[in-house]
Amino acid sequence: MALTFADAMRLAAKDPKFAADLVQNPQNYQQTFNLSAQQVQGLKTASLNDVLAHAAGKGEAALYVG
Amino acid sequence: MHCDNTVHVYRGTAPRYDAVLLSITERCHVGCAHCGFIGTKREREATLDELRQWTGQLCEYGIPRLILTGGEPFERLDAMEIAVRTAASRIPIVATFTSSFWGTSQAEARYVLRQLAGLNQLYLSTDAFHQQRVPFENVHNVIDAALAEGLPYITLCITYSNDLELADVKAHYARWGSTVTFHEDRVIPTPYLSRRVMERQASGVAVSSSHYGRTCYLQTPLINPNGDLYACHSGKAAAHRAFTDSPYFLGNLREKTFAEIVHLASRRWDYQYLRTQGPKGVAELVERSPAVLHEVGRTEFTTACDMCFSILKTHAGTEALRVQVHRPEVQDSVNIRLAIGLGEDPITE
Repeated sequence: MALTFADAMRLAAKDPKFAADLVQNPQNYQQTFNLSAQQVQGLKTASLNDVLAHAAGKGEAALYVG
Repeated sequence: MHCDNTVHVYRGTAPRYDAVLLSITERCHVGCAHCGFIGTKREREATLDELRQWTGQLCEYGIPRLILTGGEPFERLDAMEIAVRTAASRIPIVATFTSSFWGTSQAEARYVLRQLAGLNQLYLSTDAFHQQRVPFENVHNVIDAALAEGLPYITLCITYSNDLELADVKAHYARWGSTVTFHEDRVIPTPYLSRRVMERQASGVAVSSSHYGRTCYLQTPLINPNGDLYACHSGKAAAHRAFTDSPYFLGNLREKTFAEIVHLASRRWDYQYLRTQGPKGVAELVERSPAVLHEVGRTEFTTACDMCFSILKTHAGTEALRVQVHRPEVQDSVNIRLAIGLGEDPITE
């Protein structure tokens, strides 16, 4: 069965090295995962630093008390 | 860029959170003029047994930081003791908010802190509003007591109206230098705040996605004293009115466990949109559907939280969110950020 965007995402969730390469060079994976042009563009647009802001814990713990 | 050092931290299926806020009580006798609870009955409470159970569930889930909040948590010292005892040595950071009303002397403050062995972070609310009710000296006593008792992390939380007010409050803590850290946030307006409070507010900013980031407090869910679990501290607004139909509502701990609720929530596009797109994503809703602001009734906001909550509490805002998350390119973006940013499984139909 052909691989899909969802398969690429599931693999990216488990494999950091693949995840980094996927977001930096999505066109290399277009055929393997049958990515649409829109999906390749979406990966390109989501710059690695921006995407990784979540993983780096830059979303602070909630501090608002009132 | 070297891959091994850039994509890291968490690889799993369940949502990863930075912290969880556990509201011990909605009671607080201090009565600050800027408080978001003004206009509510503040009558919801969890039982001691529930607090023990809920804290245990957070330990099992692997939450890295538990933050006790309220109301004023120290109104229920017995409840705090149970939560702290349950979490100690199982959750790396156990923190609490407080107004420091109980810090009437350094000796008294040390006595109180000793009842809470295992607590290792204090968020001390200190600002022009709190200090109309609680002397600065109380906060100073609590800082000195915490240092004497070996609490390693002290954060001073300043809610301010304008820059002058912020600088004035910070000056009261100069002598502790870098021993303490600051967290600063603007007042979040509510319809219940007095005109006197609102007149002091510096202007806000108009909604533009360029003003906001994609990360915010949405990695810190809130548990209200009635067991309602919300995506973030915005859930405190549920003290005003039923709020369970909002995208912020995740479930109730009296009906399901924390792990069960967040697993179900992790399959929801609206929730994962907010988690992964943050305030920038909400601003993008407005840019696509500017008419949303008509129902909100204003166009400038003090903080990202003020902007997001004001928009998403309206029917127009939640409808715009519902439409947005059905767009295929938006769903792709959510999945990219879930998988690559957070190391979590994508949502698949």
